[in-house]
Amino acid sequence: MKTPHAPIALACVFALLSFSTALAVDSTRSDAVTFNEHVAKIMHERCSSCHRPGQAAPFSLLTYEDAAKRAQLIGAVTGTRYMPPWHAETGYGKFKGERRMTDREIATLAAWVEAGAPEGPGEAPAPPTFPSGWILGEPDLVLSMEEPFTVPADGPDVYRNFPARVPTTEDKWIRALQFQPQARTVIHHSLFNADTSGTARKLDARDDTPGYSGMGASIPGKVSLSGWAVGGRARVFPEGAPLRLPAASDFLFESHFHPSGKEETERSSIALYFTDEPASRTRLSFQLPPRFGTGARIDIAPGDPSYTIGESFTLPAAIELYGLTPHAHYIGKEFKSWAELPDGSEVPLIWIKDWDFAWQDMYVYEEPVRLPAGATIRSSIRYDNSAENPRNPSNPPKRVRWGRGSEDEMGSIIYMALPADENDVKAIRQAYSVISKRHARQAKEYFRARRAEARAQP
Amino acid sequence: MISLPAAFLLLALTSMQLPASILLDVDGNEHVLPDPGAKATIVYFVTQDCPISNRFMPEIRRICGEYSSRDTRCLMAYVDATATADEIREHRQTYENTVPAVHDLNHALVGLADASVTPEAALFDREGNLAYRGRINNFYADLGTPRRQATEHDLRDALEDVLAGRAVSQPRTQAVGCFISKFGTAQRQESP
Repeated sequence: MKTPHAPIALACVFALLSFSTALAVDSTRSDAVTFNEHVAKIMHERCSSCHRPGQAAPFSLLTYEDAAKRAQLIGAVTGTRYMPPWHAETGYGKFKGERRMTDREIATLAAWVEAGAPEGPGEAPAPPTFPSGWILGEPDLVLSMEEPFTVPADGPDVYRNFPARVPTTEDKWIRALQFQPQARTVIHHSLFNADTSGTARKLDARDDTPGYSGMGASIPGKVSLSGWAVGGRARVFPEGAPLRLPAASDFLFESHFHPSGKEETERSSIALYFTDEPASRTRLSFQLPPRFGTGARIDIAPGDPSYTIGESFTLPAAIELYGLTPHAHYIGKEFKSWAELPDGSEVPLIWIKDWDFAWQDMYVYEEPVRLPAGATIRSSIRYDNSAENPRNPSNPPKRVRWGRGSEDEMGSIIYMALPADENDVKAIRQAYSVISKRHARQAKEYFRARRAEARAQP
Repeated sequence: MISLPAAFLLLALTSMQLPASILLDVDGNEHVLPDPGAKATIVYFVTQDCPISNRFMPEIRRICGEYSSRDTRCLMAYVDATATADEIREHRQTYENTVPAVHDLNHALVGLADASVTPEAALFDREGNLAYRGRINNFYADLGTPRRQATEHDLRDALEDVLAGRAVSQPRTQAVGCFISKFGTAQRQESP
């Protein structure tokens, strides 16, 4: 550090110190922290939307008794940031619906637990009320799973896909949607797709149980229609960019369940809201690496705690990035993406330090991130195939390569963007197709080598 | 100088031994602890609304079923002092739980076993010594981190040791689950 800057830096450090001291003094006055005055507000704002009757969370956090008898648990799970569940790092992209507590809120809860979880004088603020039924009003179409599915009481997590016939005779444009699960304690996420090939229905017919298992089998021409994860609410798509629902297709619920100790019955529904205005802006969706990592030559040695893949894409024209969805299976560990701008500056896009397959969130930016022509988007995905990774499905660890099974891996970040100028769509697609084609070639070589290896084995 | 810590240790050990006592379960049946007719008694600490505790219900049923013919008794201790009799009854029905259950209102059993979370198991031998206390198995590596399947079956291993008359090789483990709260216990004690 150059000397002239030192006093400024020192002043900054001092300012930071005095700020944190102020925080510390405040939070150590634990005698002053009570449920009625401090904790109820935090519970209601940060916990109650899920922790209330009829929702996914296992118990309510509305009243003093609700919170007081779980005080130690609340202190522990907020202290480690396991709750509220939010996996993206602060300061690395600003997203809608961030389920995060501030450091100050966490310190307040810790001080309350330390003080013995006092109720305090006066009355607690009234718990918030939540709208019942469909948040966005009467839907244009409601689709439901055709048959209820029984989630077993016990055993490993269940991945199952359910097609539901779309009755419309012409393509529709979805401007918003809301998912409504039935068995809220066991459903963890559902990804939505439209299948026009009939493949999903064939797979469903293979056995008598509703749906078919697996983490999203390969369906030719599958159209992604976003998804839902625990805590998710209604989803409204960017103005001018509704999603196309193909006529007479099958709507696919690709759902993840975790058994709860007793049998549960799930019959998911989705409310769709249409617009007469077809998309006027082109939705650009690209993956880094492309094709869920088929061409990334994934080959992770058993025991390897840190194996990384990644890709980059230099934009030929400006885009507005409005969201992204990271995807890997169980041993995926870390996701990082950023953009390098032509002026040398860096735009952080997302950082997930401890990937949890159970939380398949779609991250939508609070404000779309505008990236200029010449910006390079980079992705980096790290895997942990060591025995120390409790999420490793294989014990002892096995060699892991690309595949659809839960013991195989995939890896990509799916970016969703709109072109800043519609005239640039072709140029952007062409630039991306260069990367995508390179990965297609790599995938071909990769699978050829794997087949040769399999043949060589006795 | 040595005698003081030694005496303290002896006291601590003694307190781990279950005094012969009679417990009344939620169905009104009496249970003697330690059961003179059993080689081993397992007390499962549970709460009716802890998802981790609930996810273990099938395994709890399985262990009790498999070992019942081998002189092993099972008991569930519901430790939420604010739980109502109806809530406990409903929970037992929902999870098809026929294991005798006591509502450990004053945390007498929690104190005896020094249990800290639900689900947690305490295994007493015929003499009432606390032979094992801790997790049922390692299905949960941490809160929110279930494995595909458990790879270490601590309670079953401890049971095998006790039934074979061996010392338990791993007598204490750390269970993962919901912390047991004293909330509600004091008031209940004051007004019996």
